[in-house]
Amino acid sequence: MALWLLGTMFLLSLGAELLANNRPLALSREGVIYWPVVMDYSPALFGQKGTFVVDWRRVTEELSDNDWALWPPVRWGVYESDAELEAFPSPPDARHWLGTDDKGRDLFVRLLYGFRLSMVFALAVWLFSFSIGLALGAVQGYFGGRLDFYGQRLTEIWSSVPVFFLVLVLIAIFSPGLGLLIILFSAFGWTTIAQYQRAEFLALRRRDFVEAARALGASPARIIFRHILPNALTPLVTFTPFTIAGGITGIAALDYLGFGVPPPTPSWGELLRQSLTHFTSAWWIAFYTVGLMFVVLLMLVFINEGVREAFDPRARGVASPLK
Amino acid sequence: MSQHAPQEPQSQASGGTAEESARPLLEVTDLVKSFPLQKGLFSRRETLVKAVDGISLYIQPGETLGLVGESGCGKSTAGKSILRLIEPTSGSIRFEGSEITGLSRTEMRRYRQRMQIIFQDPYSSLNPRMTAEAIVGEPFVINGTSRGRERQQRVASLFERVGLRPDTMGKYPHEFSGGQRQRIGIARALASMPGLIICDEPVSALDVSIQAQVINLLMDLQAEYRMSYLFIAHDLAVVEHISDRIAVMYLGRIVELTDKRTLFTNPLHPYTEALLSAVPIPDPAAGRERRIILRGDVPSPIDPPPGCHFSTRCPEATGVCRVETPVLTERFGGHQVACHLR
Repeated sequence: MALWLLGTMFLLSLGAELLANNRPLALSREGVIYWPVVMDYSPALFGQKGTFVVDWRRVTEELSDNDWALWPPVRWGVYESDAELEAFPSPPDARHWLGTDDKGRDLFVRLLYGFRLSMVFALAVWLFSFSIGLALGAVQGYFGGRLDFYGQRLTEIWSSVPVFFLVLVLIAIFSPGLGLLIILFSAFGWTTIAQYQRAEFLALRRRDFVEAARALGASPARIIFRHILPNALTPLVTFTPFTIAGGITGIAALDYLGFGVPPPTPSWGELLRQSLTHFTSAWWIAFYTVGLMFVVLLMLVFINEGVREAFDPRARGVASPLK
Repeated sequence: MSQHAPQEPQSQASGGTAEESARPLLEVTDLVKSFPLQKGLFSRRETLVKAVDGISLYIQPGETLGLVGESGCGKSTAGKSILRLIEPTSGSIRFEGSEITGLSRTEMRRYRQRMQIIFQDPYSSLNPRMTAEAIVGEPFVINGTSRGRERQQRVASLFERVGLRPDTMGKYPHEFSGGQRQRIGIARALASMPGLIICDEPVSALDVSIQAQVINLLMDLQAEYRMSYLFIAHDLAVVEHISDRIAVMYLGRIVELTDKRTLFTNPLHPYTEALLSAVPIPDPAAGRERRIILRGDVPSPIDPPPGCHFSTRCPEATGVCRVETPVLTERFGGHQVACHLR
């Protein structure tokens, strides 16, 4: 259930532009259909001068009765500051459901786009670090011996690098971006899962059913993928939600410190920093940001529980309360 | 069942020379398997544990050789070394006339189909995430011998042959009982039509009532396909029924090897005598006085006693036994024994 909910949320956030934007999804004006979400139009087309971007709200207001505009449910852009407000941050009202941040941007929209960024980052880090960790751990554990010995020492050295500070230093040198952050976190995130995979493979490679496969002349690849890996998924499965949660909090921490994605990219960490700055005056920033983070992390814990139960072949067929 | 017709063991043997029919299927000479044991944390010195300390044996086509010994005497290690599941330290293994030690994994593949193994523990020997059908059909997948419906049919006929209902093929191992699981293991071993099956205590983990069923199944299959068995057990009573000849192992060495009848009527080694006296006889009056109780435990294989390994527990040991290692020598009628006194 939690998986469905979080999955739906993530899929919806992938289409965030369709949910919350300051451009209509489609607009018909004088018989011509425009697609403002996916295409840029010159302001001159609509008789707007002295600007480089079309003010779609004004275009919509000026539409005649035969024309129409299809707007997303939330009509605020992610970078858009509401110029009609008297002071920022502004509290929740009918205009901004969750209020605005300290630059007058809609909090709901910022949270939505920030959620997408966090999830994309966490999933990418999960995918890359688990791929590396799984491959190295499997090779080490299966072949053992000298390879395993040197692999272990390498992993130990690698995992004793103070990642967070290294990340800070590297980000200070290179311009920070989502891609660089994903690479950095993946490059240092694989060690834990590699250790667990290695241990699983070491334990399983001498099991009788693996020996039986070897006695049948199965190739190492077949033994690794067909016989050992399906039985060694427990650490992968149990660590997945934690790794994703770690990714979400990790990027939030970096953004909080100002070392993450560059502003004005919407991110939870940036909102957390704002909520600290305006803690006494703007409770809604802290409340909704922390609340959403809590809900997402809690769902990951539920997913963990459900997936682990679903993965036990003995429990198959037995209804799981969380599935 | 015609596709499982017995195959002549010579048919796959390499080399152009004509094979003699009396040639043993498996010939093991001076097989040694030692494991290094690191002493201390920083010491480079290594001690060797000789789990298998130079055993020699042969098995004829269609014959069953029983291999008996206490737990930890190296009999399972010997069995797995013969299949090279454990890489032997030294010695020679000739199968169907060709040396198989030193072969690469790909070269070894053609022999793998001809030598199979049945494990002791029917729970750990089947992959819990594969269906019974996938497990029994795996030899066909690996050897690429059949696919699709044909493979399914061959698996189904194997199921019938080992006494399982083919409609249970789609189930997972945990849905079967111990005896049924062991039958799945037998079907898997049977699938590649081997000439030799190493039975590594295949019934030790089963209930007594199931043990007899499985042993009878193994004997039926042997009669049908003319396979050879190396039947490993820790219990003479189990081996007695199925074996043609029996080898007795003690601490990595074979101490006595002879045909079943001679071993049971005229054992020469004191250890064999002690083992025999432990075989239960269904007559309460007969037993008592013939029971030989051995003193002490089996010595550690890390530090075995010098000379005859059995000398520390042998009721008849003399000075020479503690100094000189007795060699396995042939007495009469192929009866081999390693003892200074007999």
